Amino acid sequence: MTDQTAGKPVDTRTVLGPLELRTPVITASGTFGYGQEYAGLADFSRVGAVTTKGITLEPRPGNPDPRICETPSGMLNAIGLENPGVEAFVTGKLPWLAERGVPVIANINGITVEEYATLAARLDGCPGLVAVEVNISCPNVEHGGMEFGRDPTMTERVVWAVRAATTLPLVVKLSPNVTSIVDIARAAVAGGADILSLINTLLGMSIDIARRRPHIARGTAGLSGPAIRPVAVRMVWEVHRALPEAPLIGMGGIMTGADAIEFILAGASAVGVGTANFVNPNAAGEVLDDMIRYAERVGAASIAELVGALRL
Amino acid sequence: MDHHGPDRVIADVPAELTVTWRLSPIHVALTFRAPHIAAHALPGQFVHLRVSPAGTSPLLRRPFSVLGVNRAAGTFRVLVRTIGRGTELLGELAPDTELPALGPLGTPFPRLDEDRDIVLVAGGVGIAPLLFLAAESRHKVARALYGAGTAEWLVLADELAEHCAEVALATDDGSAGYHGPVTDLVPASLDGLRDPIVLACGPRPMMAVVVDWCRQLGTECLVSFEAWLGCGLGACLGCVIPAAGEPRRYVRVCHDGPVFRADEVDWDAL
Repeated sequence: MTDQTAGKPVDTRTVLGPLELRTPVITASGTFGYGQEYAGLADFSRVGAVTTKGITLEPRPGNPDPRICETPSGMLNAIGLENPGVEAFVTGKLPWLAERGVPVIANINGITVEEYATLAARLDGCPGLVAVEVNISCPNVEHGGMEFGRDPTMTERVVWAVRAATTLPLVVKLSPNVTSIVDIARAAVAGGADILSLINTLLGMSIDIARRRPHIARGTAGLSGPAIRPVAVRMVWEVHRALPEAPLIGMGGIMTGADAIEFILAGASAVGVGTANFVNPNAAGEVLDDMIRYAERVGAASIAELVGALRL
Repeated sequence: MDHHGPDRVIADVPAELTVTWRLSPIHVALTFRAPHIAAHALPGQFVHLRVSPAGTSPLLRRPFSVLGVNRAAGTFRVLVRTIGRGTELLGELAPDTELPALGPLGTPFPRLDEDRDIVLVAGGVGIAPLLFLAAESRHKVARALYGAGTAEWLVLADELAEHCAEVALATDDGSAGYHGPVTDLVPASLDGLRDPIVLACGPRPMMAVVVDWCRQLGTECLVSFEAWLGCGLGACLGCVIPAAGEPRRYVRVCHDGPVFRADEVDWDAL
C-alpha cells in the first residue's frame, strides 16, 4: 500500500460509458431471478446492478424438464426463457428491486427485430431501470436468441433498432458460440451499443449413458461455471484489444474475487457473477470484498485503475 | 402449494457434522448441528448442502429432505443414499466438518386435520420427509407403507414403526415384507379409515401409481418430489415439473414444492 492510498477505502465506482455503477459487481441474467428470491441472503448494497432474468414480449412457459445438470466444475442449463412477459415484469417484478434502490439492468429477448425494439420502448422510463441488456446469445430457444448473435449483420440491425427505441444505456450480451467474437462486438458497437457483456453460455451436451438419453430434455444446453472461465477471459481480452474504447462487463465462471480480477485485468470495467449465485447466495458481495482486498494489496486506489492493466 | 409468507426464514448457515450413522452399504444418516435449521424446519422442507465448500467439484449444492430435528440440541438429520460423487463425499466426511447449509427451503406438508387418518407411502429414501412428518404429527399416523429394492435398504423402518399405528413393508426381491411394488398395498391400506389422506414420497413412477390409485378411490393425495436443483430458491427455474392444466406451465420443485397436491401436477407429461 502506498502512502497516498493508505487508510483510504478503495474506490469501487465504475463507469461504463453512460452508466455509472456504485460497484463493478453485477449479477448475471438468469442466475438471480428478479432479486426477491435472494431477499435476506444477498447483500444488495454490494451489488452494482442486478440483471434480471431474460424477458420476452409475451409470457413463455420455458422448456420441458429436465433443464439443468451438473458437469465438471460447471453446469448445463436449457431453461428456455421461462418468464411472465414484459407487462408482468414491469408491474410485478421490477418494483421490488426499484423500491429498495437496487439498480436494475433488464435483459430482453425477441424473436424478431421488432420485438426487441418494442420491449426496449416499453421499458424506457421504468423506475429502477439503469440499462437494457439485449440478449442476442440465448442458446436455448428455437427462434431469435443466438441466431442474431452469430451474424454481424443481424447483430447490428437488432442493436440499431433497440438503440432507436430507448434512451437507456444499451448493453449487448455476446455469445461465445461464434468464430470471431470480435466481429460480433464490432457490429454491436456499430449498431449503437454503449456496453458489451460477455460471455453467455457455451453450447454443450451431456449424455446419461445408462438411459442413452441427453441429461437435458432439449438435448443441447448452455454451459456455465468455472469450467468456461478461461474461454471467457480470453474473449474479454480479445474484444478489449480490438475495441479498447468499448466498456465491457466480463463474466463466465466467476466464483471469487481473484476470478473477477482476471476479467478486470483483461479489460472488463465490471464483472457479472452468475452460476456462483446458485452455490453461494451472497457470492456477488463476497466477490466484491475479495476484489477490494486485492486492490489494497497491490496499492490500487480504485478498481477502475486496474481495468486492462494486464502486463504483456 | 404456497405457504411462503413474510415468515420466510431461509438462511445460509454453517452445519457441523456430529454423527455419521451407516444404515446400509449405500445409506447414511447424517446429523448436523445448525440451530437455525433445527428451529425452523418443518416436515417436507429440505436443506441445500454445499458439499465442496472450498472447491468447484461438485459445483452445485445437494438438496436433502430434513429427516428429523432435535430442537433442544440444535441438530437436524438427513438421509443420504450414495448415487454419485456428491453423495459419496457426504458419506466420507470427517466428524466436525462444517458445510454451508441453506434452509429450511421449500413448501412443507400442510397442517393435517386431526379428524383424518394419515397414510404414508414411502419408496426408498422417500422415507425421509415422511418419517419427519410422522414424528411431528399431533396424531399418530394410521398406516405406513414402505418399499425398497431389498431388505437392507429398508432403512429406519424401526423408527417409522414407533410413530405409526401400522407399518407394512415391501421389497422388489421379496427379502422382507410383501414381494412386489409397495404401490400394490395402497388400495387395501385405505380400508376402514376415517376420510384418509395419502402422503407419498419416492421415485416418480412409484408416486404416479399411488396418485392413480388415489384418483380411482377418491382419496386426497399429497406428493413430495425429488429433483436436480440449482439455486434452491426459485430463481434459476432449473428444477421444474409440468403443472396440470392448459396452457403448458411449469412449477418449481424447490419453491412451489417439493410438496404438491397430486392434482397440481401433470402426471402424463412427467
